[in-house]
Amino acid sequence: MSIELKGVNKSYGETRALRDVTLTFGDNKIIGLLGRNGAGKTTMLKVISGLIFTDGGEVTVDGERAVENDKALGKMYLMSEETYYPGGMKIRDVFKWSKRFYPDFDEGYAARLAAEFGLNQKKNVRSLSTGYLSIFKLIVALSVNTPYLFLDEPVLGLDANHRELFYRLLLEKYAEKPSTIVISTHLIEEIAALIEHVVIIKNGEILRDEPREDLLREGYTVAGAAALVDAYSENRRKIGEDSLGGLKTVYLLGPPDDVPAGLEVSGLDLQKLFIRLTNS
Amino acid sequence: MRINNESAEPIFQQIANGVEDAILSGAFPEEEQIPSTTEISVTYKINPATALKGITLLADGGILYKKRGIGMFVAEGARRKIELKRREAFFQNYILALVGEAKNLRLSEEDIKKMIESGFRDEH
Amino acid sequence: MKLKQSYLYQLREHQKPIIIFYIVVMIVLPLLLVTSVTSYDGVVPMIIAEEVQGEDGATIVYESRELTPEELEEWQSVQSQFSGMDAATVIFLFVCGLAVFREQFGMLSQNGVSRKTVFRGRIAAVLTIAFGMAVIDKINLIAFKWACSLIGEDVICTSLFEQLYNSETKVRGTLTTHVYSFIFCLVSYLAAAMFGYLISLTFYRLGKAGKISVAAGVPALLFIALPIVNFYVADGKITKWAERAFDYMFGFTQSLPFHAFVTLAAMFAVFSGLCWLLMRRAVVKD
Repeated sequence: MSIELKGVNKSYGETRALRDVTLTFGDNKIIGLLGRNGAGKTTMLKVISGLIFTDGGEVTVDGERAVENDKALGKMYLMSEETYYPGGMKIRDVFKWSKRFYPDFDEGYAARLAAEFGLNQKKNVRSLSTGYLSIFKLIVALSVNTPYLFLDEPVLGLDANHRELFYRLLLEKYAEKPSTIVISTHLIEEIAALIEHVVIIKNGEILRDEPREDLLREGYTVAGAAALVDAYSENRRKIGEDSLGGLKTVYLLGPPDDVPAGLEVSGLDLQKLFIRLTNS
Repeated sequence: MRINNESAEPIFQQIANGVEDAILSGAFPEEEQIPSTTEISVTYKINPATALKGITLLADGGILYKKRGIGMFVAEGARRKIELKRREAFFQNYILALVGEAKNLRLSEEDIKKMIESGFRDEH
Repeated sequence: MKLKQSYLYQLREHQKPIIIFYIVVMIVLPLLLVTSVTSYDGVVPMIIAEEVQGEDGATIVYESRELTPEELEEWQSVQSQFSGMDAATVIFLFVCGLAVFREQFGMLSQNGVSRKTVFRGRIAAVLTIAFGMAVIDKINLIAFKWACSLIGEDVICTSLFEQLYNSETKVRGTLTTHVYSFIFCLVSYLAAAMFGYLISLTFYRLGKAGKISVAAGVPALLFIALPIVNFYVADGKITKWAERAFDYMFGFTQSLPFHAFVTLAAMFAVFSGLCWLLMRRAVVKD
């Protein structure tokens, strides 16, 4: 059971936002969709949820073509940065309609979350601040219980306390009833440990698509006296370096082998690896 | 237990080590239940599958066992098992590092021996 | 089922505007009735100018006299005539169609509804609303006619249909007139609702350049270019042709309301078809 993209292309005038994207989201995993601003993350999510059309390629949900397909669309929910809910609608009514369109929507849970976040259900959508708009959309996303959930920058505008609360709720929910959740974000450090699978997109192309642990095993860090470090890294695949006087740190691809004593070896955290891979 | 994203050690391994530490220190006594994978994943904000992997590693090694419908428990004799396992690694993980740092600080073998004796005395 | 929810949602979103509309109608109508009755207080015009042929055929003399009873009655009916209430509903539904598209399209798309189902829900909702309002307006009219009859014979209350097809009304019986006027209301409501929706959808799909072109171009074409061409080039033929076409489509002079029914129903179908064509490739916007 998965959502598949096959050779998806999307252009906006001269710009190719998505180039021949082929991907699979499934297996009830939490997946990180990482990319710089303008890399194509939001475009991809909009194409999947049918908000925009492709210029080629197709999207299937559990084997069925997703385009204009109520059944397929009913299996997924996109929480996006943009708000498509009517400004004049009360939060309470949004929950009510969500239940009607998504039968597995848990109204009791939504109400509890609203209370926990301090969201007044009687308010209009347009009266919410940026932070509370995110919170409101998050609550819907957490309550909707679809097999596929897409979160586009879910914690935008949330203060630290609310972000922590959100991660806790997400993990509790996922642990209790696993589903396929795709989180698209810049805040790599925060979600690095949450995700099981990583997709990196750069300029509309898929750069990496693999389990997080495999990706992290791809590289390592060596630090120490500059001369020693240079000697070691000479014939190895370097993807970046930092210098501080006589101290040097290099980021290398490959398994850590034959590191001489005197040099410190450590792993490559996801954010550093991402930065190195997507700097052009 | 802290999760270090930059460590060369995968997170599931860190979880396994952390649980072992707790068993050694007595925080998780033998034949008692340990926190669920959900609790662990929520507390450390890590993926539940990762937490499960760490726990499974320990279960496969006989450190933990599963009581159906209840949860994971510390196996009898787990503490002993961990001690033995870690003693083997002790030399690698601690002694060599100690010697390396001692050399950096230009401490002699005698200096180190005296320090170790003094350390044991302080403990009592 | 998504279609049912799509229909119910679009229907429900009209509830408040419709209620407000009828409250306004209910307040305004009796008010009009009362004010006109009280303002018309038996003041009778005494003088009328009339053209009379002199005996030699060349002299034109103006006489003044009192109104005959028939003339008086007709004058009074012009003063106190309440007709075409349904025109208000037509305009209301047109405006609703104009207003609802963007918001409802966004809401439904966010909730995983395909464009096909949005469209079908819209048609179903429009059919329900048009029918419902036609019924309510008919009841209102009958009630109003009854109220008018209590006040006096000199007050006339008619529906739009009756106003437009006066001769037809006189020929047929009351029941047939009611039936025809109901159908007339229904199809005009349908056409109006989808026309507003179509315009809204058109502007939604147009880019900035397109919006300006249409907003400026259409009026320019109709009110400047067309009259000029009509006058100088076609020698007034375009207007004549338009008048005849219009007349045929609605069957005014010949008093054939069936023409109007067909025309309006066809307009509804055409507008709906165009709406679908525009909607099927519409991108969902903020």
